[in-house]
Amino acid sequence: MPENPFAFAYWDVRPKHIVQPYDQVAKSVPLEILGSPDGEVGFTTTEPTIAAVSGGVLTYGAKAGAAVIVAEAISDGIAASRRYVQVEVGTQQEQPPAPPPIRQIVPSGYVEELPDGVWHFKYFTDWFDEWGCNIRVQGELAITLDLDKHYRLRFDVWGEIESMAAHNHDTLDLYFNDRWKRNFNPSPVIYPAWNQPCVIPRRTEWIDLWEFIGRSVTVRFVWDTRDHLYQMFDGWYVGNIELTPPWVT
Amino acid sequence: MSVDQVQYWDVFPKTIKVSHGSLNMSVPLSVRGNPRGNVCFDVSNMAIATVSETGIVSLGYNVGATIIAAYDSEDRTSVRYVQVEVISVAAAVADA
Repeated sequence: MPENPFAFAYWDVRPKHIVQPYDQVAKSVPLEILGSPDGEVGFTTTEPTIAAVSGGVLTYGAKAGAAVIVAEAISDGIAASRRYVQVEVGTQQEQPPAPPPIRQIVPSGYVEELPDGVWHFKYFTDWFDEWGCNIRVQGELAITLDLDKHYRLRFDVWGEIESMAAHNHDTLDLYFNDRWKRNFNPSPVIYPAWNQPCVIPRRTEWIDLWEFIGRSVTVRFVWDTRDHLYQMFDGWYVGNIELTPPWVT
Repeated sequence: MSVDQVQYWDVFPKTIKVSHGSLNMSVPLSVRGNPRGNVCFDVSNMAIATVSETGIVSLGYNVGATIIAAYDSEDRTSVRYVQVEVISVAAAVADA
């Protein structure tokens, strides 16, 4: 039977690739020779301080970096064939997250930040008349964003406002720059009583900011009681404001 | 298909990644299989790595990446590739 010119002895070395974070701790792992090398296998390294082999044991991890271990099957004094082990220590570091593209947050008027980070759109509370009335107030929370890529704005909104014409009094509106985008007041409701609040349950809102990719925009939450009547409630709350990638739901 | 029509050959390793800074760093390439002629090498960016006629890759002087193309001298359309990368591990990591 003629010799097959393509036949050759299989051999290999394991592991082939080591990737580990850098923790300053040297580690050792025995290299396994599989199959039948053409001769005695010797090892060299591109950088012994990163990875080295001695007595068939690979040592690495004391220093960050990358190195290649070359395993050579030596036959009659020459390298008959080679195999390789790639070692990477601390080269796959997690990149720190990019800073959020929020340039500034500016509250003004009757807006305050609560200790838990929730923004409170509040009433004037220094005095009330017998009908719970005092003065009209307004406020604004302006968030300027430099949008390097596609984001969605996510936030929770809830509140407790007057129930008399709650659909168009004690309003909270959202603007992109000076352009109106959304109102959060409830639909027209049957008024329960002037001294009973209209409670708006907490809900999560999503606003797609695709139209501002590569631009800056000021997202403005605008609060306005519109009159001085029935001011003895909690007002509006906006919390958990964050920018998310567009695929997050 | 007869055995004679099979012209498998390849060059190893397929990727080389080393740290920047060490001098005289070299990795001998290994040709396996049966190319028609000799295997010759070409490097896309010799500032990152060079290859001798015998397939010894010298690298490590500059940070960057390059591709080594290995040609069959009898068939220049028969090419294999080796990705080479010389990395700079952040000093904060290396010195931590």
